Amino acid sequence: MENVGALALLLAFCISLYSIVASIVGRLKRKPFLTLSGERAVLAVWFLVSVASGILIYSLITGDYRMAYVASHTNRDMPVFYKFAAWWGGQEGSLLFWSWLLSTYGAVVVFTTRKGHRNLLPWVIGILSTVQLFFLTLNAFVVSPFQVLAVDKVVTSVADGMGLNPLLQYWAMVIHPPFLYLGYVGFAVPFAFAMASLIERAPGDSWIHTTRRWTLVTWLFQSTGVALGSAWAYHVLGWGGYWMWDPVENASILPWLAGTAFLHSVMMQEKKGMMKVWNMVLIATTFFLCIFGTFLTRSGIVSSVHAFAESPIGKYFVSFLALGIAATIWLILDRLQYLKSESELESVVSRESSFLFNNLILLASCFAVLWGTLFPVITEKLSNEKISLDAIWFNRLMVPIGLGLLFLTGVGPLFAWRRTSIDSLRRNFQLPGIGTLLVAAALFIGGMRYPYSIISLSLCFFVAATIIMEFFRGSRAISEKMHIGFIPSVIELTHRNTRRYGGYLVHMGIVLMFIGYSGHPFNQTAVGEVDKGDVMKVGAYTLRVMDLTEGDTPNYQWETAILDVSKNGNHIGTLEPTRRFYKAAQQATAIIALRTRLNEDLYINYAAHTGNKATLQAYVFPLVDWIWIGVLVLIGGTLVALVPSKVARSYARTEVVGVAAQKSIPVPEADRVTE
Amino acid sequence: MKRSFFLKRAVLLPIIVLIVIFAALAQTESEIESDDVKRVGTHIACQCGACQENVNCNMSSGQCHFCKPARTKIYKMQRAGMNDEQVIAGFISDYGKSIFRADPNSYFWMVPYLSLLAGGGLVWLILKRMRHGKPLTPAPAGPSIHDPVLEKYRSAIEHDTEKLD
Repeated sequence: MENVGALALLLAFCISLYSIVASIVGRLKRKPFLTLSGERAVLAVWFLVSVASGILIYSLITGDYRMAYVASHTNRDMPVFYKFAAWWGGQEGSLLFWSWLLSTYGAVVVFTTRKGHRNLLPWVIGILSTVQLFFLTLNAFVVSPFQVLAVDKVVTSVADGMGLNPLLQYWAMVIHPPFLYLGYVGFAVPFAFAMASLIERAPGDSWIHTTRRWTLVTWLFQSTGVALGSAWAYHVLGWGGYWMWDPVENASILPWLAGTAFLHSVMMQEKKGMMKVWNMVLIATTFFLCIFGTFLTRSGIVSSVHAFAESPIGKYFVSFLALGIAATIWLILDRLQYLKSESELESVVSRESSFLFNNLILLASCFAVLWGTLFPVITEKLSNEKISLDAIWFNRLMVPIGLGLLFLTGVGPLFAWRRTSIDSLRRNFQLPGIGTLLVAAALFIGGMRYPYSIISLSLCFFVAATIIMEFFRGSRAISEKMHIGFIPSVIELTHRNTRRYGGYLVHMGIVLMFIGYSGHPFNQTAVGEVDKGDVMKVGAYTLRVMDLTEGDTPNYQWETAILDVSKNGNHIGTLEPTRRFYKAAQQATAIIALRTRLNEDLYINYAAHTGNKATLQAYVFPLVDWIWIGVLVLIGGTLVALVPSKVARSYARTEVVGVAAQKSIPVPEADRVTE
Repeated sequence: MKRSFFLKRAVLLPIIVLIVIFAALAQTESEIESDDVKRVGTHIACQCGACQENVNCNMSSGQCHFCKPARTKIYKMQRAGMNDEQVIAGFISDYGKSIFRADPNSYFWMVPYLSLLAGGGLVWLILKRMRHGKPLTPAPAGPSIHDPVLEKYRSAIEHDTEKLD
């Protein structure tokens, strides 16, 4: 069975190579049948990688312990759900998963663009197949998931496997990697279209129109993946952290930040024909950060709490990144003349410049995260000194930048395209501005003394107020014109321009998340060793230990503390934090007990068992629920933005009143595209 | 009666003294999880060897076989009057220099913020350049229409495009 899997990967490798050659030669020599065979090769690669993946999944579920990967990442007593998740639980399997997703995306691209973009498609396929070839090289020759256990060249097997890391045996962790990977891999498609457009010297923005929805879906996957990872950390790790700036977490946020910058910046190109070079740079940066993130997770260059073990694949990633980045830079520089801006900036106080500043802050955040992630490595290389860089340091660095971004989230959308008049500025900012100052004053008078929290909550009010005003103004106009109620008019307004109002909802999601982050300085903690009958206090809560119980399952042993919880003397219920000890992995994990409310979470972790006593860690986390609500609003907003608008929008470009005095670039008649 | 009182006292006193000593020496969980202990703990690298596998294992709050005793040791050293440097020096003498983790230096702050400043300058230059772009030469003259009604519509369009999304 494993031989069939390995053979499928080898064949997929060969066919990927063929796909690259056939597509590119077919396009250069104008041989449509050759290009078509390149497209069909993509489908064949998808079939072969699916076969290999199917064999690996079958081996994981049936427990074929002759295979090294199966023995390392599953055991007999694991639920089937987690056996399936072991596909992406380890190095080799996750790389195969990457390949499978990329081949699936490739097949979808071939299917969806079968009737259009005939000139771009061969290059798109060539680029996607090159990326695929890289991952298949790793899968087939470097870290094969089909290696078998052997002693003196005789295949052997073990009685039971080591099991999946117990911390990963949690529902959010089962779906978190697929979402993140869907995001990582998905950015390959807009990148491929962008580069294909450059190679073909295709004028216009057809690659942007084609990949807009694709980029948004990919961004949605990545946002959801990052949020699921955050939720997993909060609910599983036992100390209530939802973001600890671990290198692997940073690896997931880097392309997200660059992708967010791209999603904003691309609007400048669509509506004004500006920032063409910049958009190419941004989409390439996003894609290479996806590859870099995968490299960071797997190379072992940074010490991470959830990196894969050190492996030889780091040098392959470095080579691929170096070649890819060099080729992209060359291509952009070579085609600069085709990326000239079609418009000029009319005023500094305009939507255009707000996009520039938005891009600046997003990329500055991206660079700061990258710098912080690599800082320990750089310092160690330069000074031979190891650095302790925990979340506190990162928060000090990132919070001011994050607040700047929040401010721009409120300000940016209120500027008009071309220029914003003083009257418009006053109309849009006067009320929210005064309200923001009042909120800040009220928080200070109310006793809040954390400057960042005051600024953050005030800015949240500002941004929320501007968004609500935008919805209110538009809806009122529709309501008066169509004589319909306010709620239907909000729906009508959103439906008329889903992209704009979906975007506002995404911004509202960000606001809600910042409300959640603002509660962080007010966290309260208590730790205690308790026995039956003991009492422990945290914040306004009193926890009385009613019982300490224990039990055994084939997969793990467990201990539970049954706690009677009261708040300000009033009984509010029972909580049961549990500690599990997984037998195969010989590792303990916490199943935390959580009482969740909009104002605060009571979070209890059964941390350890010493003698007859249980060590309990109790926390009160104010406002943390708003983070998860914000994520849901962000997802909802992105889905709204994906719905086609009721009113088809075509954006008039700036009127051409003249041609540049200097030499202009002639565009061949055949390549001219009507927008 | 009096003898029995002294006897009782002779027995009770050492017990009470022992209890007081133990109470003074015993570390409660909240003490070894204090901010003072964690502050020093961030400069000590966990030596359990399982950090790559175990996400819970970090020196400042981990529960592994190295972290917890190490935090207890930090607490005891602090109680004995040692400052942060002395506690860390104690760990270095026991485990070698590789156990030490330094705070990041000022480059950690400076580089991102200087980059942000440089980026701001660049954006300013771009804005300036975009505002004062290359001079335009008039396009070939097209048919010219002078119609007051058309002018009215043109100004309305101009007004609307200001608010254009």
